[in-house]
Amino acid sequence: MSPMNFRKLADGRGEDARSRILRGIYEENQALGDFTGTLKKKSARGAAWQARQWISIGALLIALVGLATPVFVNRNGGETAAAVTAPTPQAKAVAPATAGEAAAEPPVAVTTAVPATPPAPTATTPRVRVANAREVAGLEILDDLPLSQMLDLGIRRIVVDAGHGGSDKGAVGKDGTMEKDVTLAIALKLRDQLKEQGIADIIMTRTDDSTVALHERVDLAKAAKADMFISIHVNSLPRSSKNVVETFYFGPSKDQRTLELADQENKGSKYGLSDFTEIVARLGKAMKLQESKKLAEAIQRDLYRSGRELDPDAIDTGVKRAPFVVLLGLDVPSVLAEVSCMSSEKAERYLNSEEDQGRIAAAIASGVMRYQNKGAVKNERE
Amino acid sequence: MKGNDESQEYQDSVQDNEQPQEEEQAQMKEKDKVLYVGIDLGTSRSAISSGNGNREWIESYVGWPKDFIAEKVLGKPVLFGNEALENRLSLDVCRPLDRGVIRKGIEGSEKAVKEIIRHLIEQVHPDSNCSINAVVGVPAESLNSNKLAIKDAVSGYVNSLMVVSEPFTIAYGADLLNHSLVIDIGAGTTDFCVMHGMIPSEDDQKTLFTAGDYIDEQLLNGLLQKFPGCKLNAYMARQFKEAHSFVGALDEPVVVELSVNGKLVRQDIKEEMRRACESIVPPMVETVIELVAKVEPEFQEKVKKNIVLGGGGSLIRGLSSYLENQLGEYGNYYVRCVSDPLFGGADGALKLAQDMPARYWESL
Repeated sequence: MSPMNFRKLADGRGEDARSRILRGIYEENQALGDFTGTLKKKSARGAAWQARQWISIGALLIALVGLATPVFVNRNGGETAAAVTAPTPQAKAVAPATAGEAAAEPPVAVTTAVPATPPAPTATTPRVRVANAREVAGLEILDDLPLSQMLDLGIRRIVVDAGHGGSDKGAVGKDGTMEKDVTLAIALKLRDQLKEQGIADIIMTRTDDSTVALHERVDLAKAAKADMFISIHVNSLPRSSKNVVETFYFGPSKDQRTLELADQENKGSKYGLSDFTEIVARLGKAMKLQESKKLAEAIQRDLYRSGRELDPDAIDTGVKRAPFVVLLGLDVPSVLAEVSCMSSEKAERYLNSEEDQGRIAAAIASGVMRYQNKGAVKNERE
Repeated sequence: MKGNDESQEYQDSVQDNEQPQEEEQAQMKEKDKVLYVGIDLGTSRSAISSGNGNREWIESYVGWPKDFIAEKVLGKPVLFGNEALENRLSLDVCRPLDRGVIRKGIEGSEKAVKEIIRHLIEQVHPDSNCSINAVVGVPAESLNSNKLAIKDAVSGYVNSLMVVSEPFTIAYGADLLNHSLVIDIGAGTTDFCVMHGMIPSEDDQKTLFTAGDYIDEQLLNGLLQKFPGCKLNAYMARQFKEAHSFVGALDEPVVVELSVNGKLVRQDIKEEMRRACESIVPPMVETVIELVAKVEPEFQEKVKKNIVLGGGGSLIRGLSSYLENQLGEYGNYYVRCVSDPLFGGADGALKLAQDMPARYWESL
């Protein structure tokens, strides 16, 4: 092979196109060099974030010790906390400027709570009030990591959403099966299965054939302070008779079929897709998507297994992001499961069977339990 | 014949470009002292093609003896590929790339990538007095940080380096630079890249995580469901896949030996194999349609008729025609496979390295 193999391109544009490609690669790699700087900046930001985390944890401890201090003070006959302040350099550095301040807000907790590294407090560091410390701790931690994950809390309250309902029939099969009826039947069975698994607090967005607006479903989940939101739907492919099983979590998507599906499922919301494209993109980047993704993966795995038992030709298209209104605005793990496909005749048959509806519900419940038992944060680290 | 053709084309290009002969000669002279290598760093297999004619590939596994006894028995401080897999019980085995990305922060991963690179370069026997310029292929949508991690890993062993996307190296190697869609089906990722006569942008590329490993997982799950008492693991599923993978119709049964309840039995796993292999097709169809839809309308028909499969996944029997059939609903597509899936990426990377003007190579 010639070392300078400038062959002409098939379209006859000649060596120029090849040269352009080679130069493009060179420039891209040069940009990669420039990116190193960006990465370093990112690392610096990472360090700052870590420092903030340290401060947050420290402040949380301050808050806890601060709460405990009055009890301690009262038990000691109203002695000021200054008497118990450990004489370490750190304690001195953040010690109150006046005795009055010391009496009002004892610095005892600061001595124990502020981490040795970064950032080291200085004499000019503003004093940390207990109330501020709490605020800071709350904001910082909740912004970056939900406490339920950080402290490995269990799932206590789940909102189960039966898709469509009332005047909104959803997809309709060839034999007239309506999505709204199937989703309700599965949702009710899922409620029972989850209760059997020990999750007592299950909130349903509907328990009968009533119309519930999408934003009402979201509002309900928010008001209930749910730990998890599961929306049940049935797919329908207008141009195909395939039986597709898929699970979605919130996020932007470029996939045309997914967008069409989102448009279909978002009917009845006060938004159009075009109205919130921008917000979807922004939220998709900012939100903690990982938890919802893990939940979706756990549910999808069991859902597909069960789907294949019912229909060996069921297709697993996996876990996807999609801009569903019903998942918008929830900051807990939330997924939308398209449990089967109404446009498939075979699927429509088993979707009408009570027993098979139970199997699908059991598969979703199994996914939820597996997600809970594994612990999403642990997965994320793997 | 090929050499003559290339020589003539080279002459043509020189005339076409009116490149000064002295500069050309100086570049040629410079290139004589340099060994160019193309490396395809894959999740499952890694391959190298060298300008001195040597080519090698290994399974992307690295193993270090667990203790001094294991080291004594194995007689090596580090083992690679199949040898590492065969002795995995005595080794700490690492598969350093997860879905084509160096598993940053995972103990041993970065070290393992360095070992693989070192081992691959040793396999092509470079002269001690020549410098090495390398082009390394990475997954299409991999983040810049991954490119950087690879750059870090490779930099100890080469003098100059460029990182490019994997499907692009296949396209370059097969002269598919215009109006084509290359699909590189690897173990961790399936990478798509639309070529239209210039370096592909982010919009021209897409990565799916349904690839060879996904098939293994589907096959393993399917077999465990069908034969509940069966003793199986991911390595075995992968071996079955590599020996018998197919999509669509197959006349003969797919018979393998399985250990069921401690007893070796021969079983037909045709249906499980078909389902597992076909599971990657629907997302591929969606992605092809999505990418073709982005191409300028007047060129879409050309791209539809120029879809090329590369990577280990292209060895699945019947895949090109099956994919073609599935795409049939959306128009007339023509899908074919590259001639050498194992070295397609490495050869393309080598060709790219050799074509790259000397002035573009910068010392690391």
